[in-house]
Amino acid sequence: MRSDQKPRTGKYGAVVIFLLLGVLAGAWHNRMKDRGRQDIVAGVTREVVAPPAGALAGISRWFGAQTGWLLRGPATAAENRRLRERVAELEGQNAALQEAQTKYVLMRDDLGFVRAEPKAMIAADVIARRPDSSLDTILISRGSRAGVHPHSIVRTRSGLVGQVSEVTPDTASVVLITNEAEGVGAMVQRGSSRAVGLCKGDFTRLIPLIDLPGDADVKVDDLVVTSGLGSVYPAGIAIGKVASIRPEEGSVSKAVRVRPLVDFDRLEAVYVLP
Amino acid sequence: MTPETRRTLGIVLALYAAAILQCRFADTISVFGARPDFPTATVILGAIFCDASGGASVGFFAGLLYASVVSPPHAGFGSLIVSRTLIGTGVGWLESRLFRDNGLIAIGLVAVGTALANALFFLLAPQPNIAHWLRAALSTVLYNTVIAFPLYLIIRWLVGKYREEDLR
Repeated sequence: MRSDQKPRTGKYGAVVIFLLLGVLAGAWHNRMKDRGRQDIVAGVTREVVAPPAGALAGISRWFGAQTGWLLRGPATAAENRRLRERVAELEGQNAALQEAQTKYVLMRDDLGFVRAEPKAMIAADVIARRPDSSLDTILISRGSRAGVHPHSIVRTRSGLVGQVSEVTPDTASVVLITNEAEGVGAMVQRGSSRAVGLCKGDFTRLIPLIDLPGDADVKVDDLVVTSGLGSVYPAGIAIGKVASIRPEEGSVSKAVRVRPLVDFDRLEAVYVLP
Repeated sequence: MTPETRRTLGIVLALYAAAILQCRFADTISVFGARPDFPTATVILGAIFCDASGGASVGFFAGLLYASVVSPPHAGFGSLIVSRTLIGTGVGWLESRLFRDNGLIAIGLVAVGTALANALFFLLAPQPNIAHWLRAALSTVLYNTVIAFPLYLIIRWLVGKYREEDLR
């Protein structure tokens, strides 16, 4: 046997070295992360994988766009009809909102408020969507070179996605709001409610809205947005709609669950708030 | 090209492809939330064609690729690398005791190896939500078992039909 021909130390020496390297790589990674700096080992490895994965993402998106109608012909036609009606309805609402916005800006100027110019958002493609079952993370195609940094907020046009946890020059890892590590200050947007709580992920599709006051006025289908409390997430980003409300046993509070507006199963592109 | 060079290149290529597939398609082809773990399956199937130290190197690089891609938000980066290195070492150690050209053995190894890799990861980096982790781990074991045979055929083709005596 081959094993008899090698000295024992030589055979298992490599094993010990690789195990030690693994431990060191982990310790180094945690140290860099704690200091808010880039881990060069993980960064280089990720940069090697990211370009072909990104290219593959583009190809599969193009292919899906070209051939999707083959599979979804009648459903697409019905969806188009529904969407046209919805666009018309939203255009009406948009006109009214723009009018209100104009009046609001004029009034603010009259009152002498300082206007903060909104920062431009950074568009990024999703390279890896939840590659591990037990960790709700995604990988995006923009990193520190584009101005993304740890704790940058990630969203789509429809709502909040999560928060950047690590960056390399050209990629960033994002922890989704469905992950247990994430807690987002949230508020019911309805004018007569404005109840404030915390959206705390538990890896399920419906995010629990906890820490609500006992007498909070919450109804199914209420829109939940970020409250701006906690200084991480800016106020006013849509999170989702209230999907269920149940009284909690032995408590005056309610168990409220929110269905995110973002479809995490079809996430292809996101915006980063630098 | 010598058989050993072809084997090394084949395994490197398989690992790289596995990492890219994990990035791009693991979520797309998920079934009822179950996702495959291509890098771990590749470690196990690649290590069948290596000895213990070769298996350790395959496991180390697969773990590094996987950890870099999934980027665990809590601690767990090093645990992913060490657990995959240990699994690669274990399968590599079994190398001289296994009949490589047997798909059934490969399927069994992938099932047991994926379960062990996940268990080792949990031991090294306990996860806060045990029920969620257990569900995810079991579904990945099932998925990997299903894809084991086609992956085995691809890796065997990439590695080439070398004989034991060619490597001596």
